[in-house]
Amino acid sequence: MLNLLSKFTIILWVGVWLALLLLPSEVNAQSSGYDIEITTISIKQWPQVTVYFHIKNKQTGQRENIPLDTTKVKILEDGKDAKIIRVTQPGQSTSEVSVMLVMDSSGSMGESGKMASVIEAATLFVNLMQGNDRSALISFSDQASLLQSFTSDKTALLSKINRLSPGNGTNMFDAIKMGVELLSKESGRQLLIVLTDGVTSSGFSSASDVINAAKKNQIQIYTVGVGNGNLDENLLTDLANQTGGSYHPVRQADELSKLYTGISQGLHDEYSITYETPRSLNDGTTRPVAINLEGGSIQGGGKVSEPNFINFQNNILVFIPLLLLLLLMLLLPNLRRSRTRVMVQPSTPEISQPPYQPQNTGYRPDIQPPPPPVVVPPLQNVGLRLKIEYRNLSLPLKIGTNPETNLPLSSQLVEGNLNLLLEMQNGRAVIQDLGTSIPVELNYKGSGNNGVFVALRQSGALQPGSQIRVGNLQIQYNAPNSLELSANATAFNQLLLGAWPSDLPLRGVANSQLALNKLDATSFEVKLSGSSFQFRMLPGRPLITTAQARMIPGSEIILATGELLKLE
Amino acid sequence: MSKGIQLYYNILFGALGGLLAWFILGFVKRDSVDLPPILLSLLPLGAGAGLFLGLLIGQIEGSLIEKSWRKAITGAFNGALAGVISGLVGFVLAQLIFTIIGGELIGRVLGWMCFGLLVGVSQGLVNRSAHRLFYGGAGGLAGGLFGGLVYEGITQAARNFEPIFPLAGALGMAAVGASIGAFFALFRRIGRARFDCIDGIRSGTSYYLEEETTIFGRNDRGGRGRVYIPDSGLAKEHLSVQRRKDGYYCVPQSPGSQIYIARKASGQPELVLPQGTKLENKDEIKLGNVSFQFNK
Repeated sequence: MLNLLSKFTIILWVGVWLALLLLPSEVNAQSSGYDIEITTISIKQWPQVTVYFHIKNKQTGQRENIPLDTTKVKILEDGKDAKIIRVTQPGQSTSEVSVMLVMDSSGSMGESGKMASVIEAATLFVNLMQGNDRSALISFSDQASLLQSFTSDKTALLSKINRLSPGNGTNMFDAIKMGVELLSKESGRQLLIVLTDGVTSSGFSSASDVINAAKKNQIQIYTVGVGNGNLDENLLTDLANQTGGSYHPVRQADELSKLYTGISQGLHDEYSITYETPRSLNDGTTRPVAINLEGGSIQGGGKVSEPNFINFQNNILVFIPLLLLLLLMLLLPNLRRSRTRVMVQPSTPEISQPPYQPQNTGYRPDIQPPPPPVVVPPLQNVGLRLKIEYRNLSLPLKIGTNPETNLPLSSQLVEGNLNLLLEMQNGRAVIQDLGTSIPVELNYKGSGNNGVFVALRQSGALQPGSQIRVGNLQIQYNAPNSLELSANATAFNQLLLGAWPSDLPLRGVANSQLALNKLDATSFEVKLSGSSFQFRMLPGRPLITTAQARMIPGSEIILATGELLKLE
Repeated sequence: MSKGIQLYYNILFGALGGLLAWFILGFVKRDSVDLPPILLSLLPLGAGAGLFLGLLIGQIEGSLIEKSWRKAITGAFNGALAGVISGLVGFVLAQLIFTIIGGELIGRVLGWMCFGLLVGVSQGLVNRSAHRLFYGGAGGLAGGLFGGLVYEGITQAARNFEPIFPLAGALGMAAVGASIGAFFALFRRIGRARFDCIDGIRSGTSYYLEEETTIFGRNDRGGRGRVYIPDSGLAKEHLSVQRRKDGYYCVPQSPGSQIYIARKASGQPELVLPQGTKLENKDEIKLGNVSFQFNK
């Protein structure tokens, strides 16, 4: 029990001490009883930012002028300490204030002594101008007129104010827009006060034009509505609220002087802190701004927005890796595809890839209705085979049934349309089917599957000795520069070799053909047409240029073009 | 090329366009916070960004789908032209929207949506295609929305890490480009029938029937409504697919050629008539060595 009590006492003591440690700062932060009320934040001198604010008594809600210790002023933008350039306090001669007075001088202002009150109020406002203050005057009726451009000369301003006289309609928006444009060229604190007693009846500009122009230029608009009559109070309120100003309805004309005095007082009671943004990037971000005065006893905050929609802050060290990454990703599908192609060749095809079985997919339309399937016996079993060996080939090589390929063949020979591509991929010869209308079969000779033909699905890798079978044709791959084409000679009465159109191609023989006409089941008559090539019957026969000869199984012809022709 | 791969390439080329724009346009000096100079500086930036995006997205169809350099060059040129014009106007409008809204997330996203919309719509205008106008506009709008969100997200995430500001900018621009490219591809699939190549040299590729008449053939001439199929079994102009009031019709282009449709419904082959035969959903048609399936 005693133990428990002592523990409780210790906890209590620790708690009290912690409370005492924490309390002073809490009390200190609130002890001043003041708040900061930010009126506007200007970024016109970017990367310098100026915050205008008032200090308000929390209890009374009144603005108060407290001399600030400038060494105890701290600004945080986006959570980072900002370098303070200048602090101005109410009444200091360094503060700059520019005010545009926009006065309604329409006909209705002549009623009930309104114009006289306006002149009186404006006169008072001008008289309250301090050292660096500058004002200008625009009046509007049917048209907006600049009566006095920005000046610190009170006499000049007063003489123009006294000339105000009521006229015709009300063209308020054009007048405000003119005022905003002129004011935007001024420096320091900028404010536009517009006074009217009616509804805009003419002009080119609209309320949204005016609001956008003011927002773009960070100009606050104070609106003053005089009288009870023909006022559009919603519009005046909106105009003020959207630009950070305020709307002031004045029912009696004699209240105007008090209002203008209040506005002037408000401007001259403002503090301002100019600091250099710790984030000078033109990135369009909105950053929180926190103000700490008097060592943190007076606090307040607002937001500052950098206005650029887009920022291109480039960096080569960022660009190059990202570019390479994107380029690699662009190549990725091709790399994967080529890898898949090579992998089509199975290491043990008899297990992973069953022998080709034509699928019964129903009718597949073509330009011509497809002929009934012809059962062709394997070439190993046919009676006569005509074999041509092609040497000195270069890859990639297209083999197909059109003259644009490197080795054009007749559709009759392959019994359909053939379109194959032989190329090297990663150091391996790969055959690709680019769109053949009949089954293509491949014998992966050299990979433990000698003699078994399986269907070629898109592509397959070749070893020396691999064979491709399509229709009456068999292609044997010997080396990257050597192929052997074997045709089932039994199936034909005549085979043409040479330039296109022929059944089998012979290279370098323009307009010449060699015809093999079947004489009987075991022999062919060789007949030349054209004189582009020569051939020699082997073994040891003389060179023949234009002649007829008889080929029997075992006969070989070596052509001057390099091809070796053999009947087996 | 499958639809997935087409989308993949659209994303990558869009991202590449955004990244190139970010890097090259980063050399344009701009540090003003006043609106008129900002707008002035945005003219070359917008034109440049639109150029890269339009060029890279415009060439995809020719270079990757049809594998026709002529079509790729035409597409790139048209895309670049549309991109320059739309980027020029788009960035200025985007900045104005951004300013009026007061920046932050909504301002940024609406700005990018405006830019994306204009880039997309201009692709349709330059190509004189109502469908492209639709999917370009919708895709650009959605791409701008998504890209703008990503851009703002990345920018916000990086705002307290100064060393990676440039990386955030680059990723943001790439994200905007990628999403515009992606939504172009996605919206393209809406509202138009297509020919899906199911066998042959272009197996897996989808051809959208965007024009009144689309001609399939071996003619690599480029231009609107032409699909280049480099198959020796096709005539230069082999078959046209025409959009009529009551549906799509295929019409043989080579005199005397016999083209058959395999009807999905009956399973029977049907000869295409010289005056045209109406296509039904899932009909198959073989041109040379290439088979297509019609999909509404």
